[in-house]
Amino acid sequence: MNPVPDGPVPGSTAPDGTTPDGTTREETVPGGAAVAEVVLEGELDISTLDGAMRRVEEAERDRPRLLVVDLSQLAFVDSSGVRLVLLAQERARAGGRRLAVRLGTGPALRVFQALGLLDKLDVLPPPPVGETAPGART
Amino acid sequence: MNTTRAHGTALQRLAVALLGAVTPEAIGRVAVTVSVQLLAADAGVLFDRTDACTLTSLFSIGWPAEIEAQYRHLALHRGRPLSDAVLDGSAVWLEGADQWRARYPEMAPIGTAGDREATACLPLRVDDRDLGAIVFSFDHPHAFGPDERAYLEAVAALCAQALDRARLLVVERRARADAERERDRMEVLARTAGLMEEPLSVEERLQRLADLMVPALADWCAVHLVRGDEVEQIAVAHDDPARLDFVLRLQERYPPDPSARTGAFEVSRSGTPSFLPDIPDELLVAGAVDEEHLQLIRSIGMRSAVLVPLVVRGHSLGALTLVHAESGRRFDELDLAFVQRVAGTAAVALDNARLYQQQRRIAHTLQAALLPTGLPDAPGLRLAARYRPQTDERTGVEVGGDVYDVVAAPDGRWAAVVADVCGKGPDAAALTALIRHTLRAEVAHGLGPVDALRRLNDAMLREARADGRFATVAHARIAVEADGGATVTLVGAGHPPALVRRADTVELVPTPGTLLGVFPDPVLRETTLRLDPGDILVLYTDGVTEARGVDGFYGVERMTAAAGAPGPWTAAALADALLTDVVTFQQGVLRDDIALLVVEVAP
Repeated sequence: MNPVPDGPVPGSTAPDGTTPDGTTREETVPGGAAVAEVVLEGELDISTLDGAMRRVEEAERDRPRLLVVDLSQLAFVDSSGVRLVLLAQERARAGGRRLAVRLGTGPALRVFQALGLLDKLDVLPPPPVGETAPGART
Repeated sequence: MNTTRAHGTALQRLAVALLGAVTPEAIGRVAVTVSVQLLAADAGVLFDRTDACTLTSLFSIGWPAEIEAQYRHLALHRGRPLSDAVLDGSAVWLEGADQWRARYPEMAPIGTAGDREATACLPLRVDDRDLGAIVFSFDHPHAFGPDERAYLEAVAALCAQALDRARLLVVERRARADAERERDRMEVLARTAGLMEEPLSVEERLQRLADLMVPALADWCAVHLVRGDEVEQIAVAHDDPARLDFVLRLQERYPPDPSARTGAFEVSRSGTPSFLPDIPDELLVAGAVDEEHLQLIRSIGMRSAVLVPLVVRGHSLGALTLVHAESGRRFDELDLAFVQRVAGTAAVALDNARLYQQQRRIAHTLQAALLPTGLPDAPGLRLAARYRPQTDERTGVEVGGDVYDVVAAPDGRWAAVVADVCGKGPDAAALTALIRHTLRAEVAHGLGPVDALRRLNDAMLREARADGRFATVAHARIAVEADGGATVTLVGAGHPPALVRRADTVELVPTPGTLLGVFPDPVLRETTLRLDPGDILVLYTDGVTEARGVDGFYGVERMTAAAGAPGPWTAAALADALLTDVVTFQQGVLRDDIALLVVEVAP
């Protein structure tokens, strides 16, 4: 079950794969997971940033059509975490893929909201209890 | 009496007596006195084999003094009875003067001096170790029968074992003393290295180094540094404060001559060590200005000195001087080698510390350059700004981060800005510069606040970095009205809400918007508010609200409370109060930069 809401999502590539300047980008996605999810826990700051980025990049290796980064479990997030998401989003955009985040109701939501990112990112609600998203859950 | 039993008893007595002796000298004394008595000999001497060709007498009894003195050290020489015994490993028995003359004609006169007749020379051996020899002499001819030979050899064997034990003890003690000395030195070395990592000024660091050296390594320690063309004494240490005081006052009265060819000044300049195991008096005389000075110097009692340069990357930073005085100790080559190691460690660490200080100076200079040199005179308004960088001890030396500015707009309004670039380092710093200068330019072009921020966003995107770096910005346009109040138009880009103080109430004014430098189309909008005379607007960065102390986050609540404290406040006073509050909250250690811009409408 694909947890992504219907319809075009602001900030991502248009449905036909055209990038803003109009050229069509063809992207062959070899067989891999349709959706991958990375759940980050603990604290996300300058000291833990490298480890978190590696995990995201690992998930990106399979070129999932949608990569979900779950920040809702983090006890602390600062600008390092924001940069991680922004960079992952840029890579997704360039690769014709999509990125979404789960922010939960705690520190991650607070930080991303203050920075005005809620309408610039694909923000997903938490998965309904009992149902997990398909794909790798790290 | 049964001779065998008598011998047995005698050997037991000797064994017991030898157990009580520990050092080679004591062994010698006991062995000779007891066995001479047991054997009813008239003279005896025990020799220690001090090296491959020499025997040294440890104790002797019964010989005339001149003979004793002459034969304290014997060179082994085949053809002499004692040498033959030692070299062959078997006893030489001379039963009377005629045997002396027959077998050892050259030595006979000495061997039979003082009416000596019979002599037995027995080697002292344990396993394959040659320890020396023991000699017994009699005033009468004496046939050494087989029983007696066995007896004498048993005596020799006991003495040999005792001597062996004593020598091993000496070796062991010396090894242990060396090991302890080595361990103490390693500790000093480790503490020297560790000392250099603490955040101290150069002077404090060197004083601690000098203090570390005394009294373990020396009675006195001094450290000199090369500073430009001069060499200065930076630190002096002695365990006794009274002596230290004496020397410091002496130096005040007779300042050391920096151009002296000897001593620490010279070692600092030349980079060549000076080793004075025994300080000659001439050196003290040469260093004295007058007779009284000389007497005072002599009274310090300097005996031995080591002066080594502090050398790093091929040049000398100064010198480390160690002096032994009242303790009577003396430096040897091992000490010199060790002090050079300490100096090497200290020099590298000193160099690192200097480079670090230099880096800090550069960083602070750069940081200062990124901020405006001052705030303009704005009639009708009072402005105050405060900036504190992140405490650099935690992360090394870095620039970057927050910035503020106030500039006049062509429409008569004042444009104020506070911005926060994420991250640290030269890239962040470059971005803060871009922000300040781009906004000034756009303001000067007459752009309104929203348009100015959009243009800034475009400029940041044109930088085309791939590091995800962004900035949050609060931008205000302030128009002083005819009635003395002010109209403020605020635009925020991902920035914390502005704070407004009116009389004794404090209000947070949210300025929602998208952060800058990432998206081509940030959401930005204006918020307008009115300030009366005496009201205060505070723009700040999240270094304030996100500050972390033992009590958790500083947060908007604390900031609001601090800003709401009963007034009246001026801009400067409120800026100071807020800064002090948040710095105190973090106990002086700032996790992030702090910028505060306070605008007061003149009352």
